Amino acid sequence: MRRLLIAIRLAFRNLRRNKRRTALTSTGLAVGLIVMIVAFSTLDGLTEQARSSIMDFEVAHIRGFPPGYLEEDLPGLEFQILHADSLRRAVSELDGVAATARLTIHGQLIAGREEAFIEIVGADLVHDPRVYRTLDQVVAGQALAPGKDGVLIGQNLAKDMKLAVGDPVTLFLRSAPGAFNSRNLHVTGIYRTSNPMIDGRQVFIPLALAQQLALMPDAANQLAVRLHDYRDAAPVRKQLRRDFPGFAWQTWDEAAADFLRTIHFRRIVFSVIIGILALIALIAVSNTMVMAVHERAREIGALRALGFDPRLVGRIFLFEGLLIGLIAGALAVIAGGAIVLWLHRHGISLGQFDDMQTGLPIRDALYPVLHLSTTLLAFIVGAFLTGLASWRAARRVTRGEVVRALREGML
Amino acid sequence: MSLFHLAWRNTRRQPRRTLLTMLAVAVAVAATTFIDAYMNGAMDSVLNTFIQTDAGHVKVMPRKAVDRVRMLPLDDGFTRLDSLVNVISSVDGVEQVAPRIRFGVLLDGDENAVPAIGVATIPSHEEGLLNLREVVTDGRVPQDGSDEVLLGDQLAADLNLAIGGELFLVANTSYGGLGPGVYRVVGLAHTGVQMLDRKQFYIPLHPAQEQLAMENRALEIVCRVKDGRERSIEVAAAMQEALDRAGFENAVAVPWQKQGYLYSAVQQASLFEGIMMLLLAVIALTTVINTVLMSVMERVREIGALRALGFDRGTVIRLVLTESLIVGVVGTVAGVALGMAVSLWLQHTGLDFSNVLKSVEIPLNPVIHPRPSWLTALKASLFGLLVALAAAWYPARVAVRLEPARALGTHRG
Repeated sequence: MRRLLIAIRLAFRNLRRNKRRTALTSTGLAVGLIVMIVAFSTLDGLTEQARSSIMDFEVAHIRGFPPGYLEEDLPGLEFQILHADSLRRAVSELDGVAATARLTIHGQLIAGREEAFIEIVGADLVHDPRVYRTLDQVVAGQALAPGKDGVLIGQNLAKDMKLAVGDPVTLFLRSAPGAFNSRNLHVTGIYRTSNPMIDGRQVFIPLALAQQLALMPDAANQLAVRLHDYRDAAPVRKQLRRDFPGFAWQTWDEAAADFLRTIHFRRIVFSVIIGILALIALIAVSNTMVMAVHERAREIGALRALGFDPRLVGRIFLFEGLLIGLIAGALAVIAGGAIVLWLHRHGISLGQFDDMQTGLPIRDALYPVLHLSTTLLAFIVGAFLTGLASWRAARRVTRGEVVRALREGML
Repeated sequence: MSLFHLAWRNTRRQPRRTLLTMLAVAVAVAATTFIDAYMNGAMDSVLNTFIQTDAGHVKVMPRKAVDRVRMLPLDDGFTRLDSLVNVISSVDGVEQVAPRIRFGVLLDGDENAVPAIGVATIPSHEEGLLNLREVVTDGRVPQDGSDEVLLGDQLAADLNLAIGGELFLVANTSYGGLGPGVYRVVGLAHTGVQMLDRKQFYIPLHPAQEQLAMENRALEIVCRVKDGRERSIEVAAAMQEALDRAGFENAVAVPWQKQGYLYSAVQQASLFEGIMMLLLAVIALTTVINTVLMSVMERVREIGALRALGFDRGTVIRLVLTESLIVGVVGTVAGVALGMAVSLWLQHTGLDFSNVLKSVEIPLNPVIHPRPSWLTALKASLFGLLVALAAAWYPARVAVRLEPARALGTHRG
């Protein structure tokens, strides 16, 4: 143990002897690690924001569908949950579960000469807000009220169709038996969620009105469930499958699989970029260690001639490399952490992408999140790279000939 | 001994160190080469798809439709279509002119309603634009003026329609009523762009004009321009002048850069490329500075001796710069060769992102073919050489600051 401490002390002294070199090598590595911290924290922030948005406005925690519904690309209204309200009541009786029924119909919204393809969502106005948050996001006009017909539209759609509260619109759709149906309504309110795609696509009406238009009394095509904790989705789904076997139950992560795959892909792309930066940093540290060994060949020879264990002398160089890794890691955590915290506070503006279909279920700003695991990873990667880079140098020190080192200054 | 030979000898004194430094430069240059080639390929894919399927190089639209393109408004459109097409065709650089009507419609599937976008055009005018002949995988392109339809292959599957089948569609007319039409399926199209193959169908302009109550009218006129990616703004300006002169005050010529938000996304991508190159440069710089600095510090006595023998400061600076440049040139050549080889190979095989782009609702071909060019190699070479030169600056300053007498009298500076 004492010898180990001596080796660490000697390594530390050597680094201080070449302050400029230590600073340059650490800086190169630190830049790579800062990129890693900022990139992964940005992805973590995106994942968390997107996950909340997807669960609050799109897919809840678990959803139940009629059998066969999920196998269709564009499921029609022949897929029905009959007696939807009874099923909702039965599911809600489970511990920690809130449920609501929705009837979603593909149709058209027509306002004068303007028309748009939309999803008409028939929502249970009492229970929907316990599962989804869309109906709470009214920014103009009034929320939908039970017993009153009207339509709630998203801000993006309102902007595209130049619609305001009180404007008349027509809903046009194909009912379950196949005949086309339409209804003239007024815009009662405009909502704005954190998902621009929802705001441009979903139009809300009371469930009873949707059932009337689709000619599907007391039927729905989705039963959405919210839990106290979304991480319980898998075990609760198991219970739902057991208690209500006649339905296809889908958890939020299955429903958002395409989006989660894009996040995974972005992580791979960032990892490749960071890998390239790490490779250059690895070469830089190897270079420094080669120089360190070459410069101190006589010193190494003297230590070994004085009876120092060759492995201990090798460890001096290993520790020297590891210390560079730790210094770079500390620099990266301080600088990268400061950047992430600043970005977390101020956000990365997405305002310019507001009208673009980016595929991201977030808007306004992206807030990176700094996790302890990311900072630890920076230290581990730094230490691993420098450990790897100095390992060869340490091996050379262990194996070199003492006499040659003393006489020629070469190992 | 020439300065170059002296510098060459110095780089060979520590071959391992020199090789490692060259390797660092090579990796950074190879990464730069590949990033540039990849961005070229990605931009080609995004822009070509956008230009061919929607924007053209220049699109002439009714003034009031400019801000409403996403809604596909079936307003009055252009009247006097023939003379408008003549004016546009006469503008220098315009190679192809295609009048189109794009309209949204709910199609009647087996058991459900399928939202789709109809593109009514003159098929023979779409060479170099929609390129209908190239995207047909089965059957043929509809004939001009016929009641025939070319369906996106996935749309055909959703509608359960095959060649020889009939597409019945009821669309809103320009007067707000409903206009029915029946079209015989003569071909299936596969563009590779999911959004188009799933949502779009193509019919000849003339029957669509009748069905939508838009006789001798079109909603947009899409133009292909010679060297149009670069010359679109200039040609659009000339076209606008011609349109104004001919009395088409209602018509606006919009270059692809000003249609939608794609151009700002392209600029963001260029910014990303710049940031990546900067990061690579910083890390490569620290490596090369370190090496050259060590090389200088090792030879303090030697530099002192050279100075005592009459070498001036400029010569010492040139010596250090040459040393760094030798490392930079070899690293750059290796890096460019590696980066170009990888890029050329991937240009051939393509990078398939179909799986990850499923949820992205933009017209984008999911297979990206990196496109390395001479400019890519030139940019990467300049990058490598600039890094080597910049990295030599600080060590060179250290070298010229050494006093000859002090340098000769000490082992380290």
